[in-house]
Amino acid sequence: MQIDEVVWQVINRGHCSFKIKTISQNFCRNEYNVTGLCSKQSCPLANSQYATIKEEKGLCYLYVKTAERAQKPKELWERILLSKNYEQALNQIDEQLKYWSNFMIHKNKQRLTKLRQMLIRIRKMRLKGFKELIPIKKKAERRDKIREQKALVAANLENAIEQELMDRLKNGVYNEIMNYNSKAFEKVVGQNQVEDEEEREQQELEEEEEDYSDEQLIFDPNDLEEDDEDDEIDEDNQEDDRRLFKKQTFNQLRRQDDQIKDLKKKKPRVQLQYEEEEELEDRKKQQIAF
Amino acid sequence: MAKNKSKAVHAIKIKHNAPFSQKIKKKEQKGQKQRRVGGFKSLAKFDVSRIKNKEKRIQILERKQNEQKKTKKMERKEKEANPDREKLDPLTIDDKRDIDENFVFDEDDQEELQNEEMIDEFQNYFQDGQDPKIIITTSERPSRQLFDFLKDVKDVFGPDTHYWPRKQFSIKEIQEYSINKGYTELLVFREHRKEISQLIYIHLPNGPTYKFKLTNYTPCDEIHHHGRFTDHNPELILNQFNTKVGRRVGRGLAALFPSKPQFRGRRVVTFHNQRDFIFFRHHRYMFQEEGQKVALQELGPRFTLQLKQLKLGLFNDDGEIEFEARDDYYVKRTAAFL
Repeated sequence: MQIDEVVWQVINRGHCSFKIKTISQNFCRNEYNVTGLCSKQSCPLANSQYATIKEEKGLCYLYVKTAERAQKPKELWERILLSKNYEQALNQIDEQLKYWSNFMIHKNKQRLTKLRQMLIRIRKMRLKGFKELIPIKKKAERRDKIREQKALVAANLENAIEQELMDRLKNGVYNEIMNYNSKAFEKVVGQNQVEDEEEREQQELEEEEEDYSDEQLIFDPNDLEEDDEDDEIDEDNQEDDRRLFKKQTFNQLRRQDDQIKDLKKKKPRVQLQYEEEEELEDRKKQQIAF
Repeated sequence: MAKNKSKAVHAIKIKHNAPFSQKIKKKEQKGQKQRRVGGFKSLAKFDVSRIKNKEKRIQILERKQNEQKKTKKMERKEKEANPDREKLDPLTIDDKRDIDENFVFDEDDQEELQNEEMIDEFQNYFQDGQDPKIIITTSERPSRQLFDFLKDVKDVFGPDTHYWPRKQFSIKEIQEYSINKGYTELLVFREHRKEISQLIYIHLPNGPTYKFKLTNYTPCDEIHHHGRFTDHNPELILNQFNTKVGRRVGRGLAALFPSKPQFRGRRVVTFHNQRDFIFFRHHRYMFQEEGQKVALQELGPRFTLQLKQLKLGLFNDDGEIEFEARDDYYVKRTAAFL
């Protein structure tokens, strides 16, 4: 004989292995419990007439227990498949639990709705794809940060980039746009200078007739010294340098007063005068002869 | 009598043990230094932490340190004595790296690699010279900081890049829509706590998905003496992508930019890989002194990428995962997979 009262008093006062006590509430861990709380009405052990809803593989079943089958524990719980349609399922519950207590019917319907909502959510997540939460590991983060800094230092980025660009220049990737083949460049420049020089000579001869004031004629002996050093280099380079040098002096001759003053500030300069035109011509001849 | 006396003298004398004296003689013959009584060994390889007694341990530690100082001095003197001795370059972490079969030394030699790369997903770009068409989005509800990042970054890629707001679409849907509209690349920038943190790069029709971790972003304004860049197609420098996976990554990053560089613009974009950190830099260059020197001016933003996952197929598909950076991979200091 199973008397519910007695069972409840024994379980409640004594020890129930499904009971979980917390500060505010008691929970029931029994798989057949409708609400999940520990109370006399919702305890599946202390009620010989009981019903729950359980979900298996996306389908909801109604489990019913009656006092007549209390002696046959294997056949104790009757399993009824509920329809997939929500309204029909609710009607099924009403039918099966006809004349039962309102508490039981109501709680079962509530449980059904909750389970169905859960199933809908699972379906949505499977189809749409959900955001996976990945934990941040402090140690790994710290480690990566430090390694990154060291890798930056080891990479030596600017140098690497510069080297790459220089390699590309040497391989001739930019040949269409930039003329930086140095030998070719110099040759071309040299040819141009020869042409320019001839023009310049004519111009000079014309302009030498004018009178130069002392201020405009500045001759720097330092430049002449550079001339002597170039003797050691190849003859071609010598010629080019001489011509460049010549360009320089002529440009200096042409410069205006303001610029001359700026130049003065930079270096100590010695002022000399060309009094005779013949000297100039002799100098030119000497340079060309080399 | 004299003999007796001598005997008595002999009797009083202490005799050495025969073997010990022989040892000494042998050593003298060999020319070695005589062993000090007490026998101090060198403490260079001695593990001081083995000693449990604290006082003794400290004692021996001191002795060890003194010895180390002395040996250092000796070595330094030697160095100074022979200045002509060969100076060995110090070993770096990059030198100690494990080299597998995946490491590519010379791409010209490897025919297999070249054949694979002919057929891979980026053939439209590398072979036919098709320009990329990029769509940029963000994670949901982006913040102002993300927008600032996008402003910096969007113009670096070619002219055909567009930003579309995210608005609750899933990446799967965005993929579909962009394929329909003819885009070839999809970039999703994600943030964490108002800081930019991730980049998901999906190459569109069938392409691989890359998941990068983005760190150390400095915006253009914070770079000293930065310049403003033009519309010219940039040149690319892809440094040190050494393994097969690395080459895949390098090609993917190259495919973001227009295929024909305009050298007139003198714009360079570099992706430099060092120990699995990919540094992005954006410069304008100029040759000086008739091609002897290069001058660089930094233009755009700086950031670093770390590859976290390389998967074949689109974002949601169950494609084969070529590379996934798990925690155990990077425990070793010398580990590098790109």
